[in-house]
Amino acid sequence: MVKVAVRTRLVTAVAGMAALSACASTDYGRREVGEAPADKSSAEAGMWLQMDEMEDRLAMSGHRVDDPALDAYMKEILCKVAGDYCGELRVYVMESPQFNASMAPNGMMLVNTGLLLRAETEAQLAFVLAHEFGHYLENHSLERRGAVKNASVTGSILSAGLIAAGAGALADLGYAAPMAGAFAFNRDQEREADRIGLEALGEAGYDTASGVGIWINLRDEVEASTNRKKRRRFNSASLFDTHPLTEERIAYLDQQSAAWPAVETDPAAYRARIRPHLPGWLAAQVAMRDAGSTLHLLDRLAQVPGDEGAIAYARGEVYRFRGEEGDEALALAAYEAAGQASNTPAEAFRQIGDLKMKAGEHTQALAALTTYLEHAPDAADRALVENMIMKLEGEEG
Amino acid sequence: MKKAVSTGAAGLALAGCVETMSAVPAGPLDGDAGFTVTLQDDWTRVPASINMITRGDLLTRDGLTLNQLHLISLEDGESLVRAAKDADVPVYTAGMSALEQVDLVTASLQRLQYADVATANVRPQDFDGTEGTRFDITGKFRSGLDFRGDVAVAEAGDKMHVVVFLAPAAHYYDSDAGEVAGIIASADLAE
Repeated sequence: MVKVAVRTRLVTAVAGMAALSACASTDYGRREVGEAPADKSSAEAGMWLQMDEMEDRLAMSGHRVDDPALDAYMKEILCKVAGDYCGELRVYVMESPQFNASMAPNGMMLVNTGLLLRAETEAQLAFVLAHEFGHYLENHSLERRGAVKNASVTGSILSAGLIAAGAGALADLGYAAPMAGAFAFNRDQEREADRIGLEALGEAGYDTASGVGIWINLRDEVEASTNRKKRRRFNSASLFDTHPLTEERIAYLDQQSAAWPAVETDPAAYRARIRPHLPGWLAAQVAMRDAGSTLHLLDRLAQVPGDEGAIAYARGEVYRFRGEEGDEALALAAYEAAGQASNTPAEAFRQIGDLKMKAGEHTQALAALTTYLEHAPDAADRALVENMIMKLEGEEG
Repeated sequence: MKKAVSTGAAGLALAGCVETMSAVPAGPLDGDAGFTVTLQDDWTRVPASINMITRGDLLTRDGLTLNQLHLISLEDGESLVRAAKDADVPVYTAGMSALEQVDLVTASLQRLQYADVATANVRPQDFDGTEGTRFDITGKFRSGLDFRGDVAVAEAGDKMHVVVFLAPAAHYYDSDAGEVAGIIASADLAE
């Protein structure tokens, strides 16, 4: 009875501390156009300096996509949603198959090629850029830094007090509650960024239902993932999750977008913008070795006409790497479908040749490898393939 | 006295756990890789406990950012790069075609976060009487620095033997290219 009483008092105290830590002053308010830290000795100035240095490195990074036309397109979209803040923002496209984007307090935005690959329309991409802009507008990086710092200090003090009182096992709870307050603050920031993003999207003339669309697609893709940990992590309702659960987010965006009129979107126009990069981005996605997610993504991408060859080839690669029973036949079928399409990578014929050779179908292997070299006379592996052809011709002769 | 001895013994035990890079003089190298090579010049070996990149032997002349020579033998199911047990990384499968072996190396380098990895001059080559594949490789290190490389792959005795040499394209690749060509030519695949 005494133990229960102690536990009740402690839980009440912890709840109170959580409320107090969230109330610690971490609200930096909305940023003005052109606002920069005036006090060079401030924490904000320190963060800007760190971000400036990181930006210098990232701008030269091997992972930055070197395409001025793509950069200009991204900046054009960003400026539509950021309005007067356009001049102080920079957006960098980074080679990474992960769906992600981030915003730094100094105006640097990073967008992964994995996100560009998954967006179906310019409006969906614009929502993400507008969401990230929302973090910048409301100084969320600075607020988060302040909240986590407050929570750490509060938690440490509380834990020490609990231990001193002999609560032992509850010390973890003591530290957890203020940290949960800090992360809940972060989840609030994500919700705020969603709201700002949606408003900016609508004001720029984009279809606001696109914010829902991109999340629904991501949710469905992750649910198809071969990786169980990935599926579990995406749907977990951990106390320390810094982003709202996807279903909660989808419901919120769906509700908010209902207030705006529907605007027509043009998936074909967006696809034309990213088409030059599609084979490379698909190859990077295939290299992730998540057959479930990738096949789901490929099915969705195939709904926009014009890239049948590249998508079929990627499908073949997924099956080839997965290597389960029956996958060799599936891979061959996919490569052969690619071979029939326009815009197909020449490598599809090479893969057909390789598979046919392994299967002992030498006449067909010879034909496919010869076709490969006709399509790619400057192929990096020409010498190797010619050697394969020579052996096959020797057997035929 | 007893406390001092205990402390000393503990210190010795700790010292025994520390591996350091060691000089490897010119001559035959029969290391962690499943094949031997002959070094034309002195190199420095990075022990496995420090080599977080690949399996097998890792040698350097001027530091890993300036030259890396990887000597690796893979068994069926093993990955070229070091990774967690359930990580999705490319693995060697016995009986892989030459094209698939080339793929394995380039995909592995991409997993190491090297960018723009591309092959050139992919050609058949004999290694110690076994037909293998040799190719040039280019790309960018994570820092954005351009690199060049020389790769040799051969399957023998149920293993895939790999030599990967990488160095910055400016100066360092050319500086060691001849030495590396000699090392590759000297490969003895017999176990």
